[in-house]
Amino acid sequence: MKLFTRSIFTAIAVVLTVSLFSAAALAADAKYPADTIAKVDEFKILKRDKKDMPESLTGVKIITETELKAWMDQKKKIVILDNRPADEFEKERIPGAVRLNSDDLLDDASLAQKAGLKPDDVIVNYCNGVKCWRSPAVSVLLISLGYKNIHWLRGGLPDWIKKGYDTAEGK
Amino acid sequence: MERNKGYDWSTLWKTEDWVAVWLGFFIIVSILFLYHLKIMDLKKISVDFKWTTDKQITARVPGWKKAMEPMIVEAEAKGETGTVVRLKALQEALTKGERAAIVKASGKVENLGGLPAALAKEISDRTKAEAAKVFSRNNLLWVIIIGAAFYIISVIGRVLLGRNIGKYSAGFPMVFALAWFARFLSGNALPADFGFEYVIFALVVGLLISNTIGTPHWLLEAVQTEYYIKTGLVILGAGLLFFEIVQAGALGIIQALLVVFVVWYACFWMCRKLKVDDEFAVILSSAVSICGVSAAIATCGAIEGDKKKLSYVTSLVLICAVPMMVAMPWIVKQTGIPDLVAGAWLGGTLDTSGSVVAAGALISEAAMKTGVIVKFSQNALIGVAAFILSLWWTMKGGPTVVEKPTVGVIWERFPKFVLGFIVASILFSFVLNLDMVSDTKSVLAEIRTWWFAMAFVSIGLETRFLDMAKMEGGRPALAFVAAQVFNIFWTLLLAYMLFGGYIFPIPDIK
Repeated sequence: MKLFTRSIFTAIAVVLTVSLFSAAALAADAKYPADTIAKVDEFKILKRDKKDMPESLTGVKIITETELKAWMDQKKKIVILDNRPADEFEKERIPGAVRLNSDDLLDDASLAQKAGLKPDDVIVNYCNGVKCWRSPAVSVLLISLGYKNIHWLRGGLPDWIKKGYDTAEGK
Repeated sequence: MERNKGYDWSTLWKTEDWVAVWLGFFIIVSILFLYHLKIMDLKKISVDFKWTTDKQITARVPGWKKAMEPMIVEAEAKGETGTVVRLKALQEALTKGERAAIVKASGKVENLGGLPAALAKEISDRTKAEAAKVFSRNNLLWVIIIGAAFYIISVIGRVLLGRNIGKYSAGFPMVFALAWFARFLSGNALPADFGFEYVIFALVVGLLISNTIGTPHWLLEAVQTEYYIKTGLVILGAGLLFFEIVQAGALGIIQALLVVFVVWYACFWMCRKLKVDDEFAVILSSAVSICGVSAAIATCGAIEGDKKKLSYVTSLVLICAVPMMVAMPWIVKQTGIPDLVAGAWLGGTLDTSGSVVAAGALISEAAMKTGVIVKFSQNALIGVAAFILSLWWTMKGGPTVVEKPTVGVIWERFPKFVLGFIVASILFSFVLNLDMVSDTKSVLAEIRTWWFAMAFVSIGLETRFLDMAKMEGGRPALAFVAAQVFNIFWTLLLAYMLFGGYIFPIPDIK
């Protein structure tokens, strides 16, 4: 009996410890190359440590708020992607932006195509400014999916608002 | 004492330390699975305690508006017209004083990021917090769910420990309700202004009961400070990067060595001056220098001392901790001691893990974490100290004959729940993916706060100031207090040297 209880409890203890670690293995496998995922993880770590995102990204063009505004005023053909969750998008966004969330795109790479993005489209990514990991992440992901013309609005929505430009809200 | 050959595995589920580890792991695993299955938004598992009356809002408006002035000036200088417009709109809404409008205007400022956003968030959090929300059905439902889950989980632990379940079940709802009440009181804007957190209210609620009507007997089995605090601490491990533990832990061990040896000897010397007998002196010195109750127990075991002296020291430790854990954070805030130094100071001087968490939480999250790590470094030394003491006691030929000391005692006395804390930290630092870590962070913090609140209520409930007066003699108490005062100054000096960036770089703890 003593041996029995002992083995039961030891088993429970072992199971608890193992499941603690195996919970980690549950993470969904990504469909992106390892170095792309590593890059995205870097951004997430910067965010966790409350640090600024990199000043620049290989293959990605940096665009300022003023430049973006000028493009919009010229009615240039561009796609503005808001990389944040739906509630933030609905609360306030850059006018004309469509939503392509970083988490969703990480889970499902085909979303870019489904959103109607063409390889040569002029794409602008933004989120909540220099401490937000989402827009650099989506920029890097789109590059790895073969999109050529990726721009990153590094200051994001906060800097856009600061300039006094209009914003949109609602669904 | 009968000893099986090899390690006695039953300690894995029969000792409080290990049971706390399993409870903590069980909770963490459950949360991770809930997260993985995506059944629900884990961020919703939180109970809202904030409430602010209309009057309190009105009282705050001038301060808030004033805080915005320099921001407006700065934004104007930088030509950030958007910022200026939104801040002015918020000021206007504040002047009108309509809660819904204030929330809306501060929402707009929040999107600006930076300092204005931080202020706006504070404004909207407070303005949104109508008292009715605390009593909303959804909020109360979560309280009940958390309470029920805590009961079930903790009762399993009590079964393993072979304790009385009936009595525990009778007391648990009351302790939990008191913890809720303490958090409710602290949720009001007024005490929050004075830095009175749930910690203080939990303590005071408990102390009021124990020192007036006396803690009722049916409650006692559920008054389990150590049990609650250890479980909460294992969960806290999940919130600490392993790197932070290593950094602060290394400094913590240096500090612990210097504190333990110097303070131990100082206390022992004082005891002799005050003519306290050696046996008593040894137990007292360990309690002051290492970490209170557990060290006293270990020392008493090592020298096979008198159990009555042990219980005297235990009460002394508990009573002394209460004023210290309220006064020290206050001193820290008044004098502007840096958070990490403060944490190390608390961790090095306060004698129970519970009081370190409580006092640290009154300062900041970083102070609490540093305090806990330093405290753990010190706790890890209990075994070593017990070993050395029993060696010395044997050689000295104390009044009782002691079993030949073995190195095994170092492991035996090692606080095992610290292992659970470290494993949880390793898991969250290296193994889990980053999203899992960031998305479960707030819910784990909420759960751990509940454990802590119950522990602090328990501290109050088991502290009777009257006992102090009843205690025999008073000389041991005097020696203890004198040594504690020495400890406070000596440790502050060490904490400044080690954690102030003078010798080593300041650890990076958030």
